Amino acid sequence: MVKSGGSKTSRHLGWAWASPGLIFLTLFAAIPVLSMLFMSVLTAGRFGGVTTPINFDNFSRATDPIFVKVIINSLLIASATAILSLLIGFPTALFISRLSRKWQVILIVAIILPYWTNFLVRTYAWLVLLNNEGIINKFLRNIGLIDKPIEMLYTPAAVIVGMTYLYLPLMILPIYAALEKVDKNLTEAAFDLGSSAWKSLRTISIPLAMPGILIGFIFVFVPSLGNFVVPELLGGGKTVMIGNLVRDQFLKARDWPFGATFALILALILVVLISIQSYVSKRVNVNA
Amino acid sequence: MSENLLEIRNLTKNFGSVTALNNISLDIKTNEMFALLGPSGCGKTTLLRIIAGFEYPDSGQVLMNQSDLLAIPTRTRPVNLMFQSYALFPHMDVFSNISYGLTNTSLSKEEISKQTFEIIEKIGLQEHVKKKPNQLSGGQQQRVALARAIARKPKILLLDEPLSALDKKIRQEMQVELKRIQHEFGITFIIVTHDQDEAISLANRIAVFNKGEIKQISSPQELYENPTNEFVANFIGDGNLLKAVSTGNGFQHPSLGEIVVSHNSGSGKQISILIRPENISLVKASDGAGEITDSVFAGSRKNITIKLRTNEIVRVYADKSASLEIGDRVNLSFKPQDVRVF
Ligand SMILES: Nc1ncnc2c1ncn2[C@@H]1O[C@H](COP(=O)(O)OP(=O)(O)OP(=O)(O)O)[C@@H](O)[C@H]1O
Ligand SMILES: [Mg+2]
Repeated sequence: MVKSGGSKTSRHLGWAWASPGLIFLTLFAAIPVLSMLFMSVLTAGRFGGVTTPINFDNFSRATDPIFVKVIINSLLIASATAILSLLIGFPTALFISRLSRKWQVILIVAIILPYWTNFLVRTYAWLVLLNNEGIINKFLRNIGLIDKPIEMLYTPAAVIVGMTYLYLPLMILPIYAALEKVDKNLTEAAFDLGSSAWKSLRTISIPLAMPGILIGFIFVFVPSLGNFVVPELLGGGKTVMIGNLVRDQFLKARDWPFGATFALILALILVVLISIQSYVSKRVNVNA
Repeated sequence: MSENLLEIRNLTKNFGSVTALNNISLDIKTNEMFALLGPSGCGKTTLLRIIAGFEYPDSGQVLMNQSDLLAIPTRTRPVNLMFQSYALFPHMDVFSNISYGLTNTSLSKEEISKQTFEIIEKIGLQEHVKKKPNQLSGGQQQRVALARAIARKPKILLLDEPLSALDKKIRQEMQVELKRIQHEFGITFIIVTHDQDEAISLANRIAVFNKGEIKQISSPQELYENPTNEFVANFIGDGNLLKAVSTGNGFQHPSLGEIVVSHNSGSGKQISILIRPENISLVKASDGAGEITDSVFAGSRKNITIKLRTNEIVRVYADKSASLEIGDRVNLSFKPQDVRVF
């Protein structure tokens, strides 16, 4: 074991090293979260903003079945998005990691490039694809598979598909990076010892790539949970998520404290998730 | 020990423009400890990987008991490989690592557990069953890798530089261990190494490789005493290789004079001669053929370096009590039967 704790001076030095990180965290994590916390216990001003007195009503208001349903609904949609992304993203990442260096680079760039284009544009593309007069319905009608268009747009499924499309690179990249790191000799050893391809995947590659899989899951889950644009465009306002609540409370109802309450709930869910992720990947890293 | 277990016929493997193996042929006998010895990059690992099933040759055959080994898929070949880097599964404990190969058979859980513990005992890992690879020393990891590779009782165990990551003392212990285990399990070992001492002390027979070609296959003693070419003479043991010109019944060396040795190089040809350091004796003479430039005490002997008039360097092992000093001029004498001509 390395000496833990250490002398006073080395502990001070340790803080010095960490200070840029601490400043960053204070500015971009602690202050926003604390101000939300603060805001959530204040009273709404008449035209927005916040005033005294301090009260805790918002938290009991948030437990109203209507809102609880929205929160649960959001969790379900974000989970479904993350799971669908995983189902598409893992095989894709696995496939890329098995290619030659040159093709790996080409495909990774091909995956990242669209991610840089405006996400509204990419979401609108799905409007064109999914609507009743859209390409998919037209195609199905033309080949005679259906005679009435399938309602695809403005359903939770459309929201899930749209967000999966949006965030898939965030799933593929960390999984690819994790699979790349798994020593090729380990999978060869598994084959040498009689494993099928499936068994070596199940017992070697997946467990060792688990930290990357979890990161990918969180990277997709987090922005999906807070998203309010896709539910509005592809869900047609029928599919309400936490993000929509936050936005509506701030911009429409002008009830900042209540909006902050939902934002706080969102942050809380993320903290729980990230704790699980860091616990699991620490365990894997200890073993590796 | 006489019938061939493995026959390798005219094997060639290229990686792009690199020829890793060039028309290799060799036979391996049942229960043999066979070493592939050669400098880095000469194709040793490539040969092992072809036998294990991770590479496919461009041409040539590999037969096991007269039937085509290359037609058998990697996962069912009766061959296991111990990786140069061990390739232990980092997320599994010692028991799971060793039993991994058995879980890919139709054996019952109880039977797998029983067989795994037998091996753990034979290889002396009882105290480490529950540990993860990163909690083991290098020597213990090496044992786990060995145990994992023999758990499926392969006909041939391939070992790629099994001892190169260990320090010298453990390496010598493990050499003894490897021999014991090979004997106890009755498995044919093909062991790759670039350490000639390791090959010599471990193997029944050695194939010396260079640049994808086999330079000689024979017993360690034969390699040392009767190298058939200059590469082997240079590679195995300490030796002095000198340039000379052949005569009808021997050779002529500018410093050593004319020596009578039987050879079949004809007359008037440039040849190389090999004389081992222990086969040369030195006699002080003011007009000697060479001058002592270095003398190092090496425990049981003195290692003497001599510079000949031709500027060639000759190494000689002398008695530790010999009164030979740096700067002394000496004559060299040796028996003609100790000289090898190439
Ligand atoms: N997959 C590969 N692609 C391209 N070239 C390769 C590949 N594998 C081996 N080679 C080349 O083939 C030659 C033989 O390699 P090999 O690994 O068999 O050598 P080696 O004798 O095991 O060396 P070492 O003692 O360093 O392990 C080398 O020149 C190597 O660069
Ligand atoms: Mg090698």
